[in-house]
Amino acid sequence: MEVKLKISGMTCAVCVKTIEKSVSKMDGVESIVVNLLDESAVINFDPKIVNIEDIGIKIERLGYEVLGIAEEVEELPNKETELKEKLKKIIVGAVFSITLFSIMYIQIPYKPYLAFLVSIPPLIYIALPIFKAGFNSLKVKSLNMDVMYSLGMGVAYISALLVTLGLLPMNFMFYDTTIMLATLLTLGRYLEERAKGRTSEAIKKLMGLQVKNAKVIRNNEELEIPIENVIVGDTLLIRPGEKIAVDGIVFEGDSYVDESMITGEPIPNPKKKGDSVIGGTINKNGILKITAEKIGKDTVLSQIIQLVKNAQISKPDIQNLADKAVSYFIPVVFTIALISSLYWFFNGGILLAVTTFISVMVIACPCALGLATPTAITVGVGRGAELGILIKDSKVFDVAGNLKCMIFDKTGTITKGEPEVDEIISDYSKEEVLLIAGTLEKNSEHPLALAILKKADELNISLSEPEKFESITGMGITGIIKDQKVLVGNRRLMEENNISINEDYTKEISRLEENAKTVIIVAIEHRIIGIIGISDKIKENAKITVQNLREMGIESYMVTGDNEKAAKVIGKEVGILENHIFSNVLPEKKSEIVKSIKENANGYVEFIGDGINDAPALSTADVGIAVGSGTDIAIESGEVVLMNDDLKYVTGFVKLSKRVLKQIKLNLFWAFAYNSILIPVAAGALYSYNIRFEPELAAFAMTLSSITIIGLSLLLKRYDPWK
Amino acid sequence: MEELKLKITGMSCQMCVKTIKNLLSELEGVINVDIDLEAGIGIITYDEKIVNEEEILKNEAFELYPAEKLAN
Repeated sequence: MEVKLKISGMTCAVCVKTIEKSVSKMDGVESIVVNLLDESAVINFDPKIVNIEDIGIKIERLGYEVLGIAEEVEELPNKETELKEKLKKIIVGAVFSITLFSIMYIQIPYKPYLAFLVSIPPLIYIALPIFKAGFNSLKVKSLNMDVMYSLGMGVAYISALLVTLGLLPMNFMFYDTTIMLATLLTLGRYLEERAKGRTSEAIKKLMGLQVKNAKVIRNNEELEIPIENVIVGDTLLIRPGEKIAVDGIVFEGDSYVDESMITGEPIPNPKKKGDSVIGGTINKNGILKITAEKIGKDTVLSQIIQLVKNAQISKPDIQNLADKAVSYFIPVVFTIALISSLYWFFNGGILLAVTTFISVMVIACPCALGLATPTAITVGVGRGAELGILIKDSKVFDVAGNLKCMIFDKTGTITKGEPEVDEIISDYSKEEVLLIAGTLEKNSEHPLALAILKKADELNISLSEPEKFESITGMGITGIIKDQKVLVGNRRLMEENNISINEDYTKEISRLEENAKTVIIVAIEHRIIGIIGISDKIKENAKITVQNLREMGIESYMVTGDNEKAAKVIGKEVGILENHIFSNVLPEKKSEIVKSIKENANGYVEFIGDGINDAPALSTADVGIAVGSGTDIAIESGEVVLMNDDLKYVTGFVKLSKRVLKQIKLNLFWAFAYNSILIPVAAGALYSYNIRFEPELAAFAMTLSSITIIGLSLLLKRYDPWK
Repeated sequence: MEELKLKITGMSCQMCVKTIKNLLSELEGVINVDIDLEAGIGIITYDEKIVNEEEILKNEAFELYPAEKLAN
């Protein structure tokens, strides 16, 4: 017997081994495989010798918590054999349907008895499971589609039996209809299941990125070990063309890494010492040595897989509508079937009444309705994952229809978030100013200091050590270099130290500030020797994104902690209206601004930020979009994570979510269209024009409606939001 | 009261430590278990009138995580 237990509390690969070792020693346990990733253990045991409770107790004794038995062990091969079994039924059903159909139209003796005998094997093999399912759902008082199929088929078969017993005339002999219905129903389900399998291909693809073995270096020896045995801190060796096994940091080597499967970014990224790499991405040309940072379910890839799985089963509001519709649908259809057959009983006789009843019951299969939303969402979320757009909650599709505002965080979202030195104004040479500023700033962690150090590094300036230094929060740094007092900082630092700024520099400082640049002043011995203008560059696609959103009827807003001047300049440059810019906003006030925009917007509001300090704003908005820089993603905040910080992915996401919503609506339309057109026809609305709807045709139409919806949803797989 | 100092191998996380503590706590006579995960050292305080070194070392915990007695 095989049982899957859910276990919590495991944190490392040794925990896995511990449980496996301990449980496998129990009498009667044939095998146990523990999976750290989905926190479960699949145990094969002999129920005559040991029971699952004892195994659970054993695991709990070790200190782990057994959460219970997981839903049946899901295994892909089972699914495939199930599909094969269905296909067999379809073929057998088709052969018997044709035989029975032929019997109806040829003249042979004892026809009713022969047909009855021929109908028995397919009745048991194909129709019985459907009857059983219908009966089971009746037992739990639910009127689902199995009930409807069973009613339709049951009525047909009983009338055929009555013919065989000689109680009804020959043209009531519906043996062939019953079997054909069962066959077509099975065919419909077969096709649905195959399509559903295909919609989760995205997940399979992601899972395929997971590496099974890793090459680690332990005690100067290269070993190939299973991925589960890699521990944090291990040194991993990745050769060109190989997949990177886990998330880590490069400590030796240079190479290009193809991260397209995670970030959607098609161009390989250069990686050198100190850069992070993501598990599942492909090393292109050089040998890399990395230190494992995250393993198992903590890796970006496992989290993505989990997210996509969760999103695919989450239900948007629009699904509730469909669910409700189905529950009303069945009684309504049943009533229509009864009334119309009663009508035809008095106006056309029993044969017509029976055919009508069967036709209506069968045509009104709500399965297309049930499929409409899930198929669109599964395919849409999967497509998003392929593009590097992770949709965690399908409520984004409800919002997509009436999206009015997109609120951008400035630093790191509209701008690159990496300040750069772009102007140095001085009577001295650039190098001299950088040398002095850099020597002091070497000891600072401030982003502006990093910008200066980066520039100094670019120009190959070798920095010396300051004799003394002190940093003054909010102003800058002071220190002593070569016995001279040096000040590096803002205007206030100069004022505090009574250093006057001459007219030329004052003018330049204003000019830089008007261009949204931060100014750093460098002074030696009370004399200003130069100023450095530092700016945070606007992202390439910022302007076009704001413009594209506007064309879609979405207004862009910006919130930032920066000063008003800088905010306005940047806002203007990317095309955000001046009254849509909120500057000097403290991080904790961001969510209040989002709230007020939300109250005034005549629709839904989305907030986009880089995650960590934006979490309250992200959750206040109707939909929060977290922009990741690929590796360091704030996966918890927001409903959507963009794996790439290129802003074109914002429009990409908006377009994709709108497209999915459209697909859901289209699917629902088709599901209802089939029913609302065909139910009246089946009920006999057109009998007076001599148009009849045969039961066989009804079953076929129903299958067709499901196929239409699946087919339309699958079109989403090729959707390109940027075309 | 006696103390048994052990070198324990194979532990890699806090849960492993908990596992050993859990299993040892079922042994009568064991008073306290102190484990230093980083160093891989465990100090077990026990009542020598109830349990002895050998019995402790035979505990399932040390089948899972091999241990060796360290000289005091």
